[in-house]
Amino acid sequence: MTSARNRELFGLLPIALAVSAGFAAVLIARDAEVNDATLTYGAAFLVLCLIGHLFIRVRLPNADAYLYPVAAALAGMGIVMVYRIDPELAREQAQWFVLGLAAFAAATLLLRDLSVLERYRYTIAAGALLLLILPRVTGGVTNGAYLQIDLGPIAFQPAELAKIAVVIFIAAYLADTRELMVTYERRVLGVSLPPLRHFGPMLVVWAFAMMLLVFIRDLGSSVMFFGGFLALLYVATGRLSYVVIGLAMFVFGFMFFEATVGHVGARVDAWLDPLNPDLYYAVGGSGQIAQGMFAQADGGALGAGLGEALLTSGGTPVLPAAQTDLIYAVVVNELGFVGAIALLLLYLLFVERGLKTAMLASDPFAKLLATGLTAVFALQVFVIVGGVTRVIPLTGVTLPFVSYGGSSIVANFILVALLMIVSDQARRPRDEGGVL
Amino acid sequence: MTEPIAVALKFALLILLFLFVVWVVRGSLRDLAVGSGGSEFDPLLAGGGDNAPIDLRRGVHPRLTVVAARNYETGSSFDLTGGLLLGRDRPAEVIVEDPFASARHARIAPRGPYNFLEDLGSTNGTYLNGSRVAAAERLAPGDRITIGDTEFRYEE
Repeated sequence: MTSARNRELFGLLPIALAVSAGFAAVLIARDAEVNDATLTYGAAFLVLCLIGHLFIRVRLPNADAYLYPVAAALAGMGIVMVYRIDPELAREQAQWFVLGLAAFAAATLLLRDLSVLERYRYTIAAGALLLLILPRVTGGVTNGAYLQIDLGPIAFQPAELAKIAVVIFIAAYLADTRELMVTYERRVLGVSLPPLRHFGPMLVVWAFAMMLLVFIRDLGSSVMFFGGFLALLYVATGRLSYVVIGLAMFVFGFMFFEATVGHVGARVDAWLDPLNPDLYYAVGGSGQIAQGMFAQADGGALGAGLGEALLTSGGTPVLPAAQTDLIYAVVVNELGFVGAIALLLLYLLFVERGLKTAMLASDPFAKLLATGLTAVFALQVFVIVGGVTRVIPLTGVTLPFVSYGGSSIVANFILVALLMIVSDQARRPRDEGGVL
Repeated sequence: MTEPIAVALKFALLILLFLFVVWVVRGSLRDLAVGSGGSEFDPLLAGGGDNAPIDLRRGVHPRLTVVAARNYETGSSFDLTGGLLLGRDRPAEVIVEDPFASARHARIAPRGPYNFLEDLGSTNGTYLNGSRVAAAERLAPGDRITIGDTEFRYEE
């Protein structure tokens, strides 16, 4: 178990070096002298990661050795990229990174026992709903979607925290009812259907996803929540038919709203034909997608180099939302195909460790929680990378840990903390298992 | 246009990232090789190995007798020499047709002179004489093994 912690410690070193190299490259590209500042940034990053590591050493000695270093690698890459886009934003991002680590530490201190989350499932679900509805009531419209709550100087995106709360609720609910769903299912036309009583919540979650789509106008989060829910439903019941029904329901709802709600339809049009001049020059049109594609093509195999991407031309931004939605395009532009592969491999490995954690967990709630958190995380990466690479319509969700955005960083650190708590319990040696 | 040092630093960043990725992949593969137990001690795997012929005291023929099952006749029995896998689907040797059974639910395997019952991380648990099996439990003749509504008796 200490060997896991030593491996974790060892993994932080190459990341700190990589972050230092990244900062130095950005500074050189700015014609600035490479001064002590670069090394200071790298060292500060390492020290922060080490503080988080010490918390893990004390509180979660048996947890997975790789989740934390991979998260740190993603966050480090994020800070370098945001620093390259705007040093002022990077300063804020660094502060959010510290807050994220604080949230991580707080979660490991407060949540020794995950059953607390299981017990307060309805409170958590109500909180998630409130979080999601608030921006509609108080906040302003960002790119046609109601995403933010303005708390004085800080803009807060509640969907990021809500995704964790929703997963906790669904995992707790399914941990209780999945046996009933499977036992009392009926076969209709050769398709097994769960009993209506237990099918109800599925309709509620579907309605909830559709509500996100229409009222909050947040297509990305809607895909994330519903996809995470279907993944959990499949893991809990082992019935592929439920997933097929759920997907059909989602596609049906999406097609209906695509035709009737302008915001959704515009996104689809921009996705299908981004180089159409009418759409390209339209406000909120396809210009962002097209420029993102140009930026990625410009990167080539090995990238233009840090600091070389064309982000503004004559004072006007070429890449809108470069530090958030399109940060993946900036990474590809500057680090090339190779850099994109490195980034995606990091995400893949994070997901692999998350699912491994789920497989090791023996408690049904912990197992479902780890599965759901990993699924939502993976879907979020898919939604934004898929959007930027034009696999699916582009919708604004953050690239976890990398995009600029305070609520995103904090929420994802809490997600890592929850996964590691599950992992710590699952990997605890058996003779200690009785003493909880 | 581009400073050679900046290019070198970019490659340093990429190389470090890939080295890190390789390091995590190697660790994950080792984790897989250890088996689902991770760092846990697995009494069944730690015993002499899967195929090692184990001398279960001479003249003893361990059997698993069906007490109640949907797809087996009550009273029929399975030969336990060498161990058996219980689960809902293949490759389990004893197919437990029960909504509470997992695909790979439990295993009975010899270790030393005794047979052990081990729950393979099933969702609904395996019960030995009415109490849930946490890790591996030693079997004695007459023990009741319950998975959902399905019940077996261990005999020697």
